[in-house]
Amino acid sequence: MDILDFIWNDILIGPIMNGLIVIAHAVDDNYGVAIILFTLIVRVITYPLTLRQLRATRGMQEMQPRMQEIQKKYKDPKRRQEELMKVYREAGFNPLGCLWPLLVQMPIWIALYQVLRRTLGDTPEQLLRLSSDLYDWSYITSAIPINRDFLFWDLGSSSLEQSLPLAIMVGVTAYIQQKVSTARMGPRDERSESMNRTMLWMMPFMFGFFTLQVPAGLGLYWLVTSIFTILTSWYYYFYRQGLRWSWKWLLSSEPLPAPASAAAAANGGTAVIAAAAESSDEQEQPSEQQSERPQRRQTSAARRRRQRRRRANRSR
Amino acid sequence: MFHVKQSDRQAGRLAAWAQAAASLFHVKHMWRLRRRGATLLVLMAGVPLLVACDVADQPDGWAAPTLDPVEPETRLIAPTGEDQVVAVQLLDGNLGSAVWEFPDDDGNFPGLDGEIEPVAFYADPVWVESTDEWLLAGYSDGALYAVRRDGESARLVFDSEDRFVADLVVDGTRVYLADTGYRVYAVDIEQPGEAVWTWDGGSDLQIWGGPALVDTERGRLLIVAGLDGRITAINVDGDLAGRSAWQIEIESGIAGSIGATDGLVFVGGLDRTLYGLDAATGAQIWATEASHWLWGTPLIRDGVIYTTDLRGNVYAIDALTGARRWLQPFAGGDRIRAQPLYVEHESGESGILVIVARGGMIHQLNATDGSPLRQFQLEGAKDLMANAILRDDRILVSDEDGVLYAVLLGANQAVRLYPQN
Repeated sequence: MDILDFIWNDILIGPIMNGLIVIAHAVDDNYGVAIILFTLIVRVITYPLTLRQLRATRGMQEMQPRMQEIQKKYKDPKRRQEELMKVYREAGFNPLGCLWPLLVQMPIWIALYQVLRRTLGDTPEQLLRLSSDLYDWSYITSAIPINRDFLFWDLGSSSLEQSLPLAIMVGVTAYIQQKVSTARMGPRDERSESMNRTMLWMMPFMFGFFTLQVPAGLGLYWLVTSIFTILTSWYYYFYRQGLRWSWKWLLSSEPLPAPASAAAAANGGTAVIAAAAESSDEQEQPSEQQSERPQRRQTSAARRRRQRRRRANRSR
Repeated sequence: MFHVKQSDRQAGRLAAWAQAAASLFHVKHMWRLRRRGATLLVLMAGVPLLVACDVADQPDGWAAPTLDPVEPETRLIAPTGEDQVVAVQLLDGNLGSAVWEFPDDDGNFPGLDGEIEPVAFYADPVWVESTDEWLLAGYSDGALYAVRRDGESARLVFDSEDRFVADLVVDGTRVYLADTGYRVYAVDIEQPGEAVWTWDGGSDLQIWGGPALVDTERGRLLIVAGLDGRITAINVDGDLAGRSAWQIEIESGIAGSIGATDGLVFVGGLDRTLYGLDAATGAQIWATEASHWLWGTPLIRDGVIYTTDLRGNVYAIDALTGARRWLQPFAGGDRIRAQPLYVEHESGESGILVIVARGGMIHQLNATDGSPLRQFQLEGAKDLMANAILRDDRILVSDEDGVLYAVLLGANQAVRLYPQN
């Protein structure tokens, strides 16, 4: 229990709390700017996980034809699952890989919630309690009390009138984030499609609701996180892989038309899975090269087979 | 053509929405959705649960118990853990029973209209001799009540826009109050309702420390300090009443109360520094550093300031020069907010300084050199933040739940006075 307490308070809460206060003091005692900078630091640190999630999403999309084939072919759920796992293994793909960024962020959310409650409390008891949580640096202790105001929000308050606009902003950005992060998902089976649609509405609603319950500072953290994820996903899917942005698509339930690379990949069968596996380990290549890679690989394999056959004929 | 396109687009959008909605509520997927709905509900319930776990953030208040000036042997009033103030009748010195509670369990009190909800009392109760009433300043409702000493009735004296944490200063029938909206009011108890004057500090931060009323060559000044680090002297008499006489600013916030003696005022800040200022001009006479935040009210006795910091250190400082006479650090570094209590020694020699630490440890020190005389752990008590008072040979302390204890000075013994269970 002491170890858990140590990990939670001394490894997580303490550094976040004191770090936020240091940042806030450095930016003219602006706690809102400190939360934004803290969010960006967290997102940059967890960027490798985000990148893995983006690649996993793409890998999943490229495996869709094969997975659909398996689902059609095997009616027995156990066998079907085995075959799917086999495909995942062959491709070096971990279906739970998408969850890592979320799992890593959960303790940060809870810790940040606690930090905001402790640092922005407005009762004397809260400030008194804060005194024992702060590092014994005069730079930090002299930064107290913290200025709670940022733009038109009181960062420590969760009152409805100030949280509602923030909750709407968080909900809208969470929707766009969900939409943009799954933009690369091509045609899927009915079950995945249904799940995706549910998530598309559930996540914004959930985060909007959460924002109404917690201090505005945490809502600000979610807002900045969503914006960062939208920009990252946009860069990854739309800028680098050539998907075309459409405002109409943002409000529709239809998937984006797949780019040429994805269409080619969809016809690639097993070779596509190999490409997906490789792509999850290598640096990203331009989309045209990716689309040509499976075909080139098939051609070179055929050439090697022909050469082996010729050598065998000669030796006879 | 444009209209056709527009309507087509709208129709397409509507169809997309309808399709999404239909797929969400499709019978075929209902069981799945139900499962997801349950997950969503669990998640949604989790957040209020997380919020509910923050009950420790609710204000408890730390108003000190106060002896009834008319019957100091048998009666006192003290805050309870139920956001009330109770008048306690002491039976045979050890057992206490409630005479009246303000407000009652339903939030009412004779003489007051409707339900009242003061939620926590930080300011110590003050008795006003001329009206024989107790003045009680509620935290959450920002109201100043006057309750008759016999508990027969109460009246609302003043209603502020904000809350009251700072102790009250009473001068005859006039009371000076500082609220969390950084305003100071002068209120005449006999003319309730409107303030005689109001001083607005114009800050988003709050005033938590009790003001001090001091006589200076410029007339009487009320010294107030706030969490923004400003120390302000406000004229209380004549044409300039309600206007600031001087103002200075230190580098950090000030949460503790102000002490004053012989034309000097003493202010401890979150910058770990105790300042000695000229009350008439605000000029800094001296400054002395502590190890942590200074929050409690300094006690001034025979030209010595006794003060504590939140690391559990006790300091004796010369009031005129700021020189440190002694420092007593306590092992464990428990936070000390309560004001030190000075007890005259029976033989007339050096007095005893009683220090109440948050965790329930009660220290007795030699006031001359700070040497420890006795220490006693008050078992079962919650956080001790309120100032202690002396009654005969006992120290009365009240914990954050409003449980009142009597600790014998000469022995390691304590009695729970009120409530009994």
